[in-house]
Amino acid sequence: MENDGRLTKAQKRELRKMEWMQKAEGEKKQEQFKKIAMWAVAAAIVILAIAGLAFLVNSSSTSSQSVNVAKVSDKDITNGVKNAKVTLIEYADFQCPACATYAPTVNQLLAAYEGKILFVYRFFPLTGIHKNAIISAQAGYAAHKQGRFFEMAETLYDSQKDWENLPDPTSNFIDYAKQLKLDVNKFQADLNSQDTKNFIKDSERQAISEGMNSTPTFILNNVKIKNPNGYGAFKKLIDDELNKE
Amino acid sequence: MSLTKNKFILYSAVVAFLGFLDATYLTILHLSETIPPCNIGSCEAVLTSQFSTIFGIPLALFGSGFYLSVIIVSLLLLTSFRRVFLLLFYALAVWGFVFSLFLLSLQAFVIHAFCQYCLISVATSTGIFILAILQFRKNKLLTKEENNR
Repeated sequence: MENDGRLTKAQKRELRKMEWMQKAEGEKKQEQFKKIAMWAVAAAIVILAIAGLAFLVNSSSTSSQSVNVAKVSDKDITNGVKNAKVTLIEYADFQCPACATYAPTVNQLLAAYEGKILFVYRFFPLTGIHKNAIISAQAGYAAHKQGRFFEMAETLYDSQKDWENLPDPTSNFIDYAKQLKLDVNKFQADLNSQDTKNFIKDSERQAISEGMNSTPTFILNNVKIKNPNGYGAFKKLIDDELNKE
Repeated sequence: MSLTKNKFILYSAVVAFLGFLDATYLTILHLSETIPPCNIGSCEAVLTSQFSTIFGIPLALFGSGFYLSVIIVSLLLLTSFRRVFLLLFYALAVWGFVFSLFLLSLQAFVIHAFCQYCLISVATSTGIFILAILQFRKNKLLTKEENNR
């Protein structure tokens, strides 16, 4: 070129255009980067939140705590040997589906630890959410008066779906008493006796005053345990108690 | 469409995140208990009622999914605006609001108990609904101005 060092008007224009385009491209890239960063930050926040919540739930539910519950007395409904090394108390409601789910597990445990464990069943009818909680508990207590509580409990849990929504399940319960070959007249009288009603009411009050708020609640040697997931987990807790010095 | 111009969308994402925290907490709580116990507290009465799952899937999980969708659609609107995303945003907001009202009436008239976590979710979905209305009105004004020009 003749006028070296100097640029023609056309070249200057070209240069300016290139600069402008580079700048625009840079801005575009920056904009894109911003977008990607925004998504990344949002994803990170969501994942962190999930992890944090999972941690929160886990740490709050794994603790078992010592509780002061009424000592086992003659009034209690028990199964197993008195003064056993391991005492398992269950607060339960015949209309509670979770109690029904745990019932076979408990029976399996009682069979496995026969002679080594004392099992105590305490009524905790959740009257606020289960309309047949009281009457079913009364049926259980009436069977207890004939020494057949645990058979009746099994029947009530097994047939829970049949009676839970009935306006009055009494006739079903009488049928169960017949099936179990109980003295039906006595059963019927005990089912509605004032003594039975008082016992159930007192049990409910006692459970609430002891701070119970859900069923089933298991107390293993005075420690309120987190409901174990399945037979194996439950068995391990009992083994640990048996192996304690 | 830049961040500052879309404060309603941005607020929606934030409110949806709060709702997401709430619903996800309940989902994890639900999944961590293989056998949910029966409880006398009113919140537990709601959370263990027959309405707490749909076809075995915890309702709270649907809530988490809903709020996550709102967050994603909001971010899409903020980063790469398209009309279809805006329509999707409106649809989600209306759906969430209507479904929340339905769940609220279930608690009031069928279960007869209120759960504070569920009430928080009603609040957040209502918030998203209101923000969506504000966004809708703003958009209408904008298009009117453009037409007048």
